[in-house]
Amino acid sequence: MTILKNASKKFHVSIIFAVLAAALMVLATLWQPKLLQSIINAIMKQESNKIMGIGFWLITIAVIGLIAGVINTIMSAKVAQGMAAEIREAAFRKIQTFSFGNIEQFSSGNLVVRLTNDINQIQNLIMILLQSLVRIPLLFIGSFILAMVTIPQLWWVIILLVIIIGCITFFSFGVMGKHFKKIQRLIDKVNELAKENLMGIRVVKSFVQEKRQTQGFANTSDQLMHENILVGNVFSMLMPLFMLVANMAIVVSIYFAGDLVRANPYVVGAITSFTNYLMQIMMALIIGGMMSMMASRAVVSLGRIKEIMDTNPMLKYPDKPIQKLDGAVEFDNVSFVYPDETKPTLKNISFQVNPGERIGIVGATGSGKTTLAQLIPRIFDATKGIVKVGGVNVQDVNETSLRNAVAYVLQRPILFSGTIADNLRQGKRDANETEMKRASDIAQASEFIDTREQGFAAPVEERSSNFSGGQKQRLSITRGVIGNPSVLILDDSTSALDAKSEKLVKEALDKKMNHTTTFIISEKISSVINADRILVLDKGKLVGFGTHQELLANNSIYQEIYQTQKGKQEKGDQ
Amino acid sequence: MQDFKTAVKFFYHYLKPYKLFFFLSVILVIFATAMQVIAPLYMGKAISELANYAIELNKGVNDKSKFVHVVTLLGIFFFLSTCATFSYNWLLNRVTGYATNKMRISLFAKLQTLPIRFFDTHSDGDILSRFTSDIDNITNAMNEAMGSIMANIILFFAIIFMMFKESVPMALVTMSTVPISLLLITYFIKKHVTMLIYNKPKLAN
Ligand SMILES: Nc1ncnc2c1ncn2[C@@H]1O[C@H](COP(=O)(O)OP(=O)(O)O)[C@@H](O)[C@H]1O
Ligand SMILES: [Mg+2]
Repeated sequence: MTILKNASKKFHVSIIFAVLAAALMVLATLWQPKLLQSIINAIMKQESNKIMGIGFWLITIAVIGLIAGVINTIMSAKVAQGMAAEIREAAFRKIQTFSFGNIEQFSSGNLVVRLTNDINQIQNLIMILLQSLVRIPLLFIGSFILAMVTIPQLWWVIILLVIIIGCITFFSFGVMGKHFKKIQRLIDKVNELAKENLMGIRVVKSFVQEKRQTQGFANTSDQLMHENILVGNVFSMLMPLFMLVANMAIVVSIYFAGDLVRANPYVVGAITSFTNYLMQIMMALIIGGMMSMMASRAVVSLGRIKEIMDTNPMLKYPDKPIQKLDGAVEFDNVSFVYPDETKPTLKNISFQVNPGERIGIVGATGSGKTTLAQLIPRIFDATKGIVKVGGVNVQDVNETSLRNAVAYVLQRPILFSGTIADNLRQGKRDANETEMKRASDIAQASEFIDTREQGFAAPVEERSSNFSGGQKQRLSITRGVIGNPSVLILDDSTSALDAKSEKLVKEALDKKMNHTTTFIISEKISSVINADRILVLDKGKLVGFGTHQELLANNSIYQEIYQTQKGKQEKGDQ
Repeated sequence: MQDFKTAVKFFYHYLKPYKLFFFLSVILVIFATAMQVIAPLYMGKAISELANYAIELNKGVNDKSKFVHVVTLLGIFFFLSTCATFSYNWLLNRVTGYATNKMRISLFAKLQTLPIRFFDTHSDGDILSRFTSDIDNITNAMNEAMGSIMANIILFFAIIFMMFKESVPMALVTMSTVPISLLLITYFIKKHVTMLIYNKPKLAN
């Protein structure tokens, strides 16, 4: 509810207009049968002069009702859309504060569904609330009273009608709530599967997994269908059931009017308007019931948005002034366990690195190189122990200081659709052409940026499909070096480069970024052989730290890796 | 117009297996509507029988049997109308469920057969929204459009026809209050029709 309240702040005036218009609409609706009644009387009595007068009023009121209805609809739509946009934005802003752990907890496809489908449900709810929340109770009370006044003897028919319809609504409300939740979850899953498939479409195709993927998708889709049909069945029963109850109420009241007629002949005339009001009562109840139906679906959605809003970012940054951090990096007895995992991925790691040093990190796939690197820019927090940058615990610096100090170039380069410049400015918001040029020179990206007519303004397509793997990596490195960080982490970032470009990148880094501490992560010793010192990881443990020569001389695991790679290298060279 | 034709072809493809269901539900819709039109007539009859009965009562004759007979018929018509409405709702709901499920799965299967180039030229969000909002909209449109709009249009004309048959001035008066509902109806029809056409051709290619 607070979500709705916060989002409604800007729309108070429109909401008041919508509500007033709704009230006006009800008055018109309740007035119309009365006038209709007198016009019918006039027609019966052949009083044509009266017909014109009342007819005029009838049309006037109908027009007023119509205008009020249009105003109500326009205002409600405006408010609903506006509020939905506010909620979406708030949720999106919140998601931006999420750490990797949070996003893993929701899964990104699920977040997408929440931002689209769920917010649409909420938008519908707001619309319905504004259209009916005032109108329906007024209509209900109005026709209830008028029915009671018309034939008081039949009060029990009215009460019975209300109770039975109330019960049906309440019952189906309960049943539906559960299934709406299930449906929403299945929609999540459908979306997740579709998204996973899209992202991995190349893999799916190259491993000829199309059939299996489709089978898996079909299973989930079938489940969704069954739930949809189930809910639909309740719906398809509900409307006729309501009608039946109301119609039976009419039959019963006409039947009992037969008994009343003996004492009060006037009942014959009153029964028409009585049944009319019964119909109105029923309409009010049905719309009310439908509203609560929709509401129950929207409440599920509201809950799912609330979950986003209530999630605390797993990492919090302290409110401290910006500070300049130098390139010293220290791990003090650091262990790390991934969220939802039990076994530690990193165990008791300690080392110290001086500003400006070139550090290589080697180890087999899955040895924890990426995991270790992620702790430096605080993508995750260490489970145990302390990580320091520039001599300060990373948990004690504010976010901007840390982002400015540490640049992390991902193993798999991710570029956003937009222009090259847009992507580079993610590394430094106000980067100018000169800075971009300098950075792309270092990363050896200039050679292909220059060939594009628009230069830095050249477009980057979705999934950066207009760049090769090596070009993406070089752009990604450019983005990393552009802010001139104190610490630069290249996580296997040169894997798609040919040996010559890789060498050029390394040399440029040595020459132009010599004050920056650089971590170069690789499985290949050849990529780190020139580093000042090399960290050797094995199954989450730090098993060696020293220069290539030192490690080669007395580190058995390093020797082992070196021997196997040397063998391969020679074979490859032949 | 071309759009409309492809739309019809698209829906025809997915709804073909349920021809029989459709046929059945159209009959049920017509039957339910007939009941809905006949019932008020009998309501009028019941009330005039009630008046007759009151007049007879004044004359000292206490014979309710005709009145009760008409009221009973009225009850039966209402009941039959409910049964018919429920049945076609139920049928259409199943058809919609199965048809959209098939659309969703064949959409996914289709994606698997497209060349990689397709994925590079279409944005992910665009493709993904097919699975959520578009299929969702089709479900809603089919659910609402097929049942209620079909029934309402038939009902609308049937009622106008009956009203004019009963009394021309009364019909005119009642119609003067109709603009609201008329406006609503055209609004809904327009919305659904455009939605259907809008959604479709992209899925079909
Ligand atoms: N997000 C994650 N959640 C749980 N386990 C993970 C996650 N990321 C990596 N791991 C696991 O942690 C281990 C180390 O992975 P990683 O640091 O990526 O290795 P490397 O970069 O050396 O190849 C692997 O066993 C991997 O399965
Ligand atoms: Mg890695």
